[in-house]
Amino acid sequence: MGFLQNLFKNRTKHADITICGLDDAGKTTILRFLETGEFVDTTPTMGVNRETLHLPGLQINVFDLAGQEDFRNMWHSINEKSDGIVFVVDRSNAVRFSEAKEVFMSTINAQLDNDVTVLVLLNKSDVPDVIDKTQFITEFGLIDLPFKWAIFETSARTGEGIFHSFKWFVEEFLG
Amino acid sequence: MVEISTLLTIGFSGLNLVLVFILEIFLLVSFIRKKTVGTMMLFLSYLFFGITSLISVVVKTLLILGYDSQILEAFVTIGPLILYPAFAFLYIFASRHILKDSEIMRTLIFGMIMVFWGLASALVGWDMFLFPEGSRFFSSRTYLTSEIYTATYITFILIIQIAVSIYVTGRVGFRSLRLAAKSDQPVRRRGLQTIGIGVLLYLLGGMLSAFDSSLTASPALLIIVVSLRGIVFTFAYIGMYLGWIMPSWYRKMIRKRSWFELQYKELSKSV
Repeated sequence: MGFLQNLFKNRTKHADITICGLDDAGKTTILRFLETGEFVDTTPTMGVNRETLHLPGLQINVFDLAGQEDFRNMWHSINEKSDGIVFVVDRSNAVRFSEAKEVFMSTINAQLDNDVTVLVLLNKSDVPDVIDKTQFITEFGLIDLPFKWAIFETSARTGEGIFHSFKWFVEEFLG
Repeated sequence: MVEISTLLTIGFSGLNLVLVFILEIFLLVSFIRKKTVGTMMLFLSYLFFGITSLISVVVKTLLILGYDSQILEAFVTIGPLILYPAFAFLYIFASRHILKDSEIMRTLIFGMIMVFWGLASALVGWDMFLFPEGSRFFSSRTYLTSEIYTATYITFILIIQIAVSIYVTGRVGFRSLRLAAKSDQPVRRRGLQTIGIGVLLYLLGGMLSAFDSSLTASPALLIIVVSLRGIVFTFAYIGMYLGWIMPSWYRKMIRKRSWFELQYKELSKSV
């Protein structure tokens, strides 16, 4: 019986994560950076991009969701089944912070289970005059989040913070 | 004295039986894990292919060992009938995932395969039970003696069976190759290519099987054809295993590792 149990037992953990955020925040560029290790110019996503990461003991399915307003009502169907969410914010675009916060809050409050891990990426860190990380945490109300969360400063153009942020995510899943 | 071609036939049939058995185990595991209709259809299809191979190997071996009874010969006759459900389930699986046939087309084709299966079974049954002494099936051991048989039932059944197998495997094979050419995802492209080649090799093996019964005049040619058929079936089963199951080592071989995977692997090594 032990042999049969071993045969049917899947030793690799599986996790589904979604990358959300407003349009033009850099979600697909981050996904492409994970894939290629370099900056890739992308076009607006229409629907969902999917990538699978095969890591030792863990397989992660990454769903990159289109950020345009028209597509946001599709997010919940994927987010509800998700084990983790990456929320990408364009830290150089102060004009859309309130919109980003509103979308972030509605996503985490309405679409996620309590045991979901949340990773916030302050993207476009290579651009000058961006919002400060501490200020962002306060303004977004991250301190009071009832989730396991982390925030990283990233740039999908230079690769800054991309590896370390996703490494944190992986380690959270691996326990 | 057993002929070389017969020994080769049994040897390769045995090897192919082992390969089908391995494929079947993996399909069963896949079905238990995924619990989808597709994996069940594929499992059932290869279950029937496996049963046919098993019957073929056992009967041929027993006949060579000197067992010669009507029951054995009846099994030889019934064996090919089991291929009908195998092709039917393969078609259902492929129609959902590869061929993208409409619901009407799917029902029509599946229905026709079932009708042919019923017709062939009825003819075999009629022949076996109504003419047990002078049965055309029982008197024509074509697989061993390579007699060119004239029995109309057998000819009819074989023609229908060949038509069904060519239709199903041909369509699945060529369609897989066409989809592979259109796909820009390396894993999907190689998977479809492997399925296409595996299925078309299976079709070629089947055609060689039908061909070898007319080669009694040239034992050397018969040995070549039998060996070739065995090799073709072996590669077909390996191809179908790689294509349908896509084991992780095969996926990894096709797919280049992403930047993140490489970085993470390097980091894991250094820790």
